[in-house]
Amino acid sequence: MILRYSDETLIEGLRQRKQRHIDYIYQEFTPVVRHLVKQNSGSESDVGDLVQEAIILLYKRSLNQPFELKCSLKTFFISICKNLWLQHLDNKYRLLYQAEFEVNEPNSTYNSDDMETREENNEKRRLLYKNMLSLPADCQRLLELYFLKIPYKEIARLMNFKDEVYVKTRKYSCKNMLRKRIIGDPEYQQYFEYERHGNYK
Amino acid sequence: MKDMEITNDWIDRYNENELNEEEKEFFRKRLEVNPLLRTEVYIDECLNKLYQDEGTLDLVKKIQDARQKSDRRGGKLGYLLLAASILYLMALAIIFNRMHYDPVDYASSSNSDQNEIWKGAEGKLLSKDNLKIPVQERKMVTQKWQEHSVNQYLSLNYMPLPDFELLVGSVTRSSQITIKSPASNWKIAAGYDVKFEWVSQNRVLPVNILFYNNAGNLIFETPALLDDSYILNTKDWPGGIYYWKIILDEEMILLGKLTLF
Repeated sequence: MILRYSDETLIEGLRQRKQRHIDYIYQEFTPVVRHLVKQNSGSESDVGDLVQEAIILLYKRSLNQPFELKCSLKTFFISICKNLWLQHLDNKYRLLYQAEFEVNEPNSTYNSDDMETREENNEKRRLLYKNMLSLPADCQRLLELYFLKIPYKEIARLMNFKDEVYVKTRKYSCKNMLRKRIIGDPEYQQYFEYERHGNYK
Repeated sequence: MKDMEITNDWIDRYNENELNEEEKEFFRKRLEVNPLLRTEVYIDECLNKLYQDEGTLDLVKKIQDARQKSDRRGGKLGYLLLAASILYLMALAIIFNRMHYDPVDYASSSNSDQNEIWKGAEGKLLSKDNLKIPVQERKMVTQKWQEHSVNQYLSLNYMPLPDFELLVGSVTRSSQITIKSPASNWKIAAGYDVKFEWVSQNRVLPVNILFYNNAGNLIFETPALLDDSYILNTKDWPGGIYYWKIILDEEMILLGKLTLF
């Protein structure tokens, strides 16, 4: 039996990152997104990516108190997905026809209220997360512990490593492996190539 | 400074501000001329930001879990749909078969009633066209399935063979023999004997009788007959149309038709 949650419960559950609420949102909202994407030349993989991005944006919105909905959560979620998908198609169109970035106007946002959508490069973030989660389990754990600012010595103890020097070396090699994976990713060219020519501050 | 070489840890250390002044200066000069290094530094910077946002990273992991669960559910659903589709098609095939081979409701009819249908009101065998049941009157019946299949099979046996039909009773080449019986188009109930009788002017030449089914295939041939008659027992012959040829001295004397019902 599937429990039904109210919109408020779902938002609160998402804010607390509760697995059952995330499962529910994924299960309930994905079919509509799938229809939207497949009607617009998208694939099943695009559906999953789009839903993931939309949930992340919804989560970030839910962290900003107060978060008030003027429509149902499902409607709001679908509108986020629509905006993201239009952006995706816009990027795809530009890449497909090798449009000049200097000539074309900046990526359209299609929704002036959608600040997070506009400010973040969702595609780039998705690519990074995808590769982060594809690392070996020990690398993922080591990097998470490191960014939780746990001391090297403690990490060595937690992960049964010889000493803190080894932890440092392993951390560098894991980060290096991750960077190389991202650069080797087929999607990398789309989202990072132009950084080579950009001005590094 | 000339001996310096950038190793894997330099990018991390640069972004975390762990390089000393001399290393930092060297690294910046390399950044200016090396676009790939610049990109790697940029990627590393992005990664650090994402790793620091542990809440979102945790959320992404949970979304991945939800996605996998959904895929598994979708996979199971796909198998169920496939199984349901196969069952549905099988059911349709069975229904179609029964409708195709079992169009007439004989369920309430006795065998004698069926015979009436075949013979018609006057006891005369009806033509195939007369036996046709209009489509709208057909309905599926599950009873007497096997019997109806046989009827279907029998109806095929009653299809006349056009090539032979043209020749029935009209081919006589020899005056040395006169056929007395049967008639060139003879109808008889299956199982009865059919007597072939003739008067021959020349008893030296043997007579052969060949029997064909309504597909034109030779099904039986008598031995060379020197008598004036031959009795054919139709006990083992299924109902249907048969053609016979009387051959004398390798010449066909007469082609006849025998209908067993």
